[in-house]
Amino acid sequence: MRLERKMKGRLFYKILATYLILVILVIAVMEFFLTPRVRDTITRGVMDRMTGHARIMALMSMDELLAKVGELAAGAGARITLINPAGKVLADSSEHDQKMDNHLNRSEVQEARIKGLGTAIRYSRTLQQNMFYVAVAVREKDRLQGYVRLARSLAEVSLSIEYLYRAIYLTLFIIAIPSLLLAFVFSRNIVSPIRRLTELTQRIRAGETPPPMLADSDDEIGRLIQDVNFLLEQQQEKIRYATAEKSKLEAAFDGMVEGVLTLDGDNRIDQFNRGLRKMIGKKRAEILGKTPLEVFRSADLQAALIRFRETGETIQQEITLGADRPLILNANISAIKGYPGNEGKIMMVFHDVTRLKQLERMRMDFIANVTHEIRTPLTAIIGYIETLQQGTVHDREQTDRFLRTAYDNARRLNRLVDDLLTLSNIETGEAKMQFREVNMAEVIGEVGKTMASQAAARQIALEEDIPTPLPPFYADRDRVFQILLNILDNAIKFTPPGGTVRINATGDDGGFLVVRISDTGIGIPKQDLPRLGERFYRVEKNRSRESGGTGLGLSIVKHLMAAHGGRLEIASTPGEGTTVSLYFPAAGPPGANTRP
Amino acid sequence: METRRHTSKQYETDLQEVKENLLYLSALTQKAIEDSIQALLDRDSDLARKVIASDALIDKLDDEVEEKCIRLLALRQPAARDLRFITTAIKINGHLERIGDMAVKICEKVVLLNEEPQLKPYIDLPRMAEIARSMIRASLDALVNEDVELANRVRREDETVDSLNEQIFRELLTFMMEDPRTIHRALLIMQISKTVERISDHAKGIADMVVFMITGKNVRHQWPHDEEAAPGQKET
Repeated sequence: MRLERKMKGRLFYKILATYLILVILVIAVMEFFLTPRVRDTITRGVMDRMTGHARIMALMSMDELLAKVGELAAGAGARITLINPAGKVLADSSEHDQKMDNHLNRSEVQEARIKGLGTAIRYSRTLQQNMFYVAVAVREKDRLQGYVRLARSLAEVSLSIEYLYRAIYLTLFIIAIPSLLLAFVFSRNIVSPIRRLTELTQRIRAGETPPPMLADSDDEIGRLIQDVNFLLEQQQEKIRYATAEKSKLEAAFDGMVEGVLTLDGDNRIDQFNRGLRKMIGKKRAEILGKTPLEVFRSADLQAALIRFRETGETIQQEITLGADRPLILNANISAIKGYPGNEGKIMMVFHDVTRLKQLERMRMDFIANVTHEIRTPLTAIIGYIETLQQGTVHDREQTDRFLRTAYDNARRLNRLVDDLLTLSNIETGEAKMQFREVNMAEVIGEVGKTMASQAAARQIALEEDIPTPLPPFYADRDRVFQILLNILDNAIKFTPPGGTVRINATGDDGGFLVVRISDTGIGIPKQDLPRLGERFYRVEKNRSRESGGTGLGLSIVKHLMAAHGGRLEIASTPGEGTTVSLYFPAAGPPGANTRP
Repeated sequence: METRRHTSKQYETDLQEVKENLLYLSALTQKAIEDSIQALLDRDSDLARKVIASDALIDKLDDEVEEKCIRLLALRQPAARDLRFITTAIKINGHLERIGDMAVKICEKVVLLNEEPQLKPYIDLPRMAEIARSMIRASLDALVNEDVELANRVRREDETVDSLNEQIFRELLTFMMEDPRTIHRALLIMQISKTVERISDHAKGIADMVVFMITGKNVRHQWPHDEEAAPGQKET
């Protein structure tokens, strides 16, 4: 607002001043050039008229003049003095003649004596003002009778000039009022669009995108408005384009599964994508502007970064973050080249290889385990048979013992191969499942009976808590038996003597029939829980083998549960015991009812 | 520390570098602890020997940080917060270097243990080591974020490790009493446990220094729970 008034004021006064200066200039020009001429012209006019009057009077005789001096003076509008050739004043229209001194020495009289006509402008002591005098010789038949002199005050001339000027000034004043008005209107017409234009540009400067202005005239200002509108539109178009391009890039950047970040010259993260944020589970503020060390706290990554800075070569480094649920990332460090404004920047791309690493480890473990599992009984078999072949053992009893051991190991090998085959069949879906209505209470009872002697041998109490009636459900009865047997076998094996193993079933838990087998055994460490279903995975390297397992039991259970459309959950506290929960869908696996 | 600005850009960079080096050092020591415990669990003597070898880098970095700090003290003559930060950095640096040495000590025992069959499954020891490791991380977090609350939490955590150590000690004692043949192994495990406990002491030392740096209060010889009892220091 203040700016608007100031702007309007300034321009208004500028225009007004221009007008005033123009007026003053006119007056000055008149004063310096016109006034002397006007004064001259008027003076000369008065003089000419008086000279004319004087010449006419000179045609009259002295006597006539003397007689009519008063009338003549009134007619000519001047003072008339009659002087005889000797210079004595004979008569004066305004004064008594005897009081006046000799006038022969007056310059106009002297001039008239010689030329017949004389003029003079002189200060009259008598009247105390500038006077114009004209004298003419009065002759009669070439004889000088005397002189007639007319005198008139020049103040009259000044007065008429004054009148004239008063009229001129009045006119100028009358002109000045509309010119002020005009200046006001004019300035407003110019200032208003300029003001709006200024507002517009100010808003653009402030980063706004104001609507274009209406150009209501075709003059320079109108064209200026059109140009500003054009520039505005062009700028907005450019911004729109840049924004669209940026958002396209960002969408691609953010859409990537890989985590990406860039480091500025100060080793601080200045850009990163959503993939990275999700990967490491940190907030924006915890990443932006931080150093990689602050964010990742990885010695390996830092070492790789140092190596990269030394060599400048693209580096791949595997890093592990977090302890509880380790995140394994493959970090790729490279320089950003060929993009202006990005000199000295470093780009890091992270691939989550946790799952890949897990699979790789599982595969390696599997091969190592299979080899190991097969070799142990084979070594025993070969060893005993070699001993027998050498014929050094003659004792019948010893031979029997050797053969039995070899046989036991061969059977173990057989069991192992059977388990592997079962597993493979379930995995490939070749195992034929016979889905029928199954009475879970009955199956549990059978399993309990089967395991009773083993439990008793280890002094373990076997408790069953089965509510009746349990709803029937669809399953392959033999497979369910196998599942329960495996779990129960494990529970008994890993519970120290004097412990308890409890089987508990719940009829309907959200559409599932749930069987829980809890023990008071040694338990399983937390970090091993996720890997339990892996083939040959052992919590401790020797614990299962010593107890005679193939290391495939839980793996088979897991796969069989999946084949039933159910799942397996294991909860455990080391030193306190383990609870295995088996969730069987009450309706059997999807589509099971239609199977033969 | 982020918001602090110095007229000298170089000074700023130097301080930042000290901080970065401390973080690197802490990351290295944490990895050393992790690896040494992994070596114990997996009976992996190669990994143990790798940890022992990697201590050289920790020692080198330790020298660097110390030298940088002393140079900063001499050249810049820092005051107030900067002075506290630099002296704290020197102290933390020392703690971290000692932690690195302790990881080496653990690994030496692991190599010896691996020459004999495993005495017992380890349950408390890895837990203890993980707590000690996370204490180091948290104390450095507290340093970076100037978080007194977090530093105090680290200081209290030390007691958990102490009690775990005692528990392991008692358990091993029963092993030794039952079977004298286990004494050698049990003693080695005890030493490892004691070393982990010492690591957590150093982590607490770092947290003490962080509290000192932020508040200017020396809490090194106070027990964390004493403060809790004091008025106005209530936990939320």
